Amino acid sequence: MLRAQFTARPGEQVMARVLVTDDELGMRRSLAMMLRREGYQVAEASSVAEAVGHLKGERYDLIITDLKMEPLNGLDLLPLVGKYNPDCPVIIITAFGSPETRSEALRLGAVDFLDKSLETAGLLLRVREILIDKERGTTHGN
Amino acid sequence: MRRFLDWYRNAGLRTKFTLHIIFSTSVVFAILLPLVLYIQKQVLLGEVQESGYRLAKVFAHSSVQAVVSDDYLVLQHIAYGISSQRRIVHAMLLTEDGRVLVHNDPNERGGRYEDAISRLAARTQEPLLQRYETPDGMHIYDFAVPVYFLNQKRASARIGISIDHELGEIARTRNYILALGFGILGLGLAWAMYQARRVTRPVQTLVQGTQEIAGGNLDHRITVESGDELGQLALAFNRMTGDLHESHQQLVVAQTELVYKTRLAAMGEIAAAVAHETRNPLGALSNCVQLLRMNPHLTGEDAEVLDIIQMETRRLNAIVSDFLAFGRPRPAHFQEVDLHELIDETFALLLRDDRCSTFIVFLRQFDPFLEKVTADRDQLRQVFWNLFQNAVQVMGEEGELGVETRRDGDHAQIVIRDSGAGIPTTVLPNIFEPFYTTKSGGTGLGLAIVRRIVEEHGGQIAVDSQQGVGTCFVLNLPLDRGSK
Repeated sequence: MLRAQFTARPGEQVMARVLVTDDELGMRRSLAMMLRREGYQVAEASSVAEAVGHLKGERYDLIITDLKMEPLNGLDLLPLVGKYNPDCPVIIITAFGSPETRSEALRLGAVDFLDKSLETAGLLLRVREILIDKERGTTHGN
Repeated sequence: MRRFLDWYRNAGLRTKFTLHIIFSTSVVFAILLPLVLYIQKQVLLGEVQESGYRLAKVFAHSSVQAVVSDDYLVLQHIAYGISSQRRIVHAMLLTEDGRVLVHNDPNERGGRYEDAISRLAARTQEPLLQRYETPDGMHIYDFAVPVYFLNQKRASARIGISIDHELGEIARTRNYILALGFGILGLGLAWAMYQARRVTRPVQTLVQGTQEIAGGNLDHRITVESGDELGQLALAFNRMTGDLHESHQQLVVAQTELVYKTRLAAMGEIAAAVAHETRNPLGALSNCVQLLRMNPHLTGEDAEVLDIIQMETRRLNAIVSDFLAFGRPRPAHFQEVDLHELIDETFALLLRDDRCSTFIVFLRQFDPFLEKVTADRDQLRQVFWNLFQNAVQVMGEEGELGVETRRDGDHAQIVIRDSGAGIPTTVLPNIFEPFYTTKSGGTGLGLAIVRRIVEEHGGQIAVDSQQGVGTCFVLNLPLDRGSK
C-alpha cells in the first residue's frame, strides 16, 4: 500500500543516494536490497571508518546506520557526517534502544532513532518522508 | 569436703532441697532431743530424789528410839510401813559394819552385806544417794541416812526406790520426740519434693523451651502461669522469642525477595543478551522474506514456504520481544491512565488478532466512579494484553472473558476472569516464575512480565483457579500514587 503510494511518482526518488552502515552483513545487505528496490541508489559500509571513506568521496542524501558497532558506533558517526557531508540526515537503527540512547542520538543530530523491527515498511516510510522533507528544504523533527 | 561441694554445685534443685530439709530438721532435733530429755530427767528424777531423801529421813528419825531401845518389833513395823510405799524396793537399817538390824524382808535380818554399795551406805555420815542396777535389770536409787542418837551414829537407814518408771517415761518421751522428728523429716522431705517440683517444673519448661527454640522452632511458647520471677522470666522469654520469630520471618521474607530479585535480574540479563543478539539475524531474515515476496515468479508452494518462514520469524520475534521486555524493561514513564480506556483499547487489539476465536464473549463491568491511576500506559497495556491473550488462548474456541473494575480501599482492583480449563493447584504457585510454562511454544515470560510490571507500580497480583471452571486474576493498583 505504502509502496504503491510512493512509487506512484518515481521521478522524485530516483537517484536519491542512501548510505547503509551496519556491521551485520545480513541486515546490511537485505536492507540495502530493499532500499534499492524502492528506487534508491544505495552504498554499503560495514563500519564507521568505511562509511567515512564513502562520505569523503561522495555526497549522500541520507545515511542509515546501526547503533552498536565496533570500534566506533553509530553515535560516533554523527559528528563525522557533519564534517564531511553536512546537512545529510542520519537515521539510527538499533536492535534494542533505550530512551537514553535515543535522546542522546537526537541530541547529537540524528534525524530519527528507530528499532529494527521485523516490518521494514515503517523504516522505508520514514526514509521517504525525510527525503521529501529534505528536498523541500524543511527541517526534520519528530 | 571439696568433692562434696563440687557435687553439691552440680546437684539438681530437688537434691538440694532435700539436703536442706534433712540438714535443718537434724539440727533442730539434735538440739531439741537432748535438751528435752535432760529437762525431763531432772524433773522426774529430782522428784524421786526428794521424796527418797524425805522417806529415808523419816525412816531414820522414826527408828531412833527403837534402835536405842533395840525394839525389834517397832523397827520391823516401821520397815514394813516404809516399804509399803509405792515403788520402794527395800527398807532396812544397817549397822556400821553392814549388819542388818531390820529389813522389810524378815529373812534378811541378822545378815551382813559386804557389797560396795551396802558398805558405803552403812558407813555414811551424811545422807547418801547411790544408783545401781540389780542383776535382773532393775534400776535403783539407794538412799542412806545416818541414824544419830546423842550425836552418835547408831545405824544407817537405807531405802531403795525403783526408778524404772521414770526411766521408762524418759525413754517414752525420747521415742515420742524421735518419732515426731522422723515424722517432721518425712513431711519436710515430701514438702521439699513438692516445692522442688513446683520450682523445677517451670524451670524445666523453660529449659525445654530454650532447647526447642534453639532447635529452630520459633513458634514454641512457654506456658508458665505463675506471676513470680519464673513467670516473669517465661513472659520475657516468650516476648524475646516473639521478637526473634518476627525478625526471623522478616529476614526470611527479605532473603526470599532478595534471592528472587537476584535470580530475576540474572535471568533477565541472559534473556536480554540472547534476545539482543538474535534480533539482528531475525531482522535480516524478515527483510529477506520480504525481498523474496517481491519475486513475481514464485510458485504456489514456494510462496507457502515463504509464509511459513515469515510466520516462524514473527514467532521468534515475539519470543525475543518477551525476553527483552523481561530482561531490559524500559524505565517506566508514569502518567495518569484511565484504566477503562486502556482495557477497551486492549480488547480492541485482541479482537483484531486472528488467533482470537470469534466465539469468545467479552464481558466488562466497570465501576464508573473509579479514578485514574498513575502508571506507565504502555507497560499497563502489556499487562492487560498478556493476561487477555493468555485467557483467550486457554479458552480456545469459545468461552467468556470477564473484566471487572472496582475500588478496593486505596486501590483500584481489576478482576480478570476466564472460563478456561483452570490451572492445576500444583502449578499455580509457579505461574509467575520466569520461563515457567505449560504451553508448548510459550516463553513462560508473559506472567513474569505482568508480575514485574504490577509490582513496579506498587501493586499486587493474585491468582485463583478452579479446574473446569476457570481462572481469575486479581490486580490491585494503588490509587494515591504520586508520579515517580
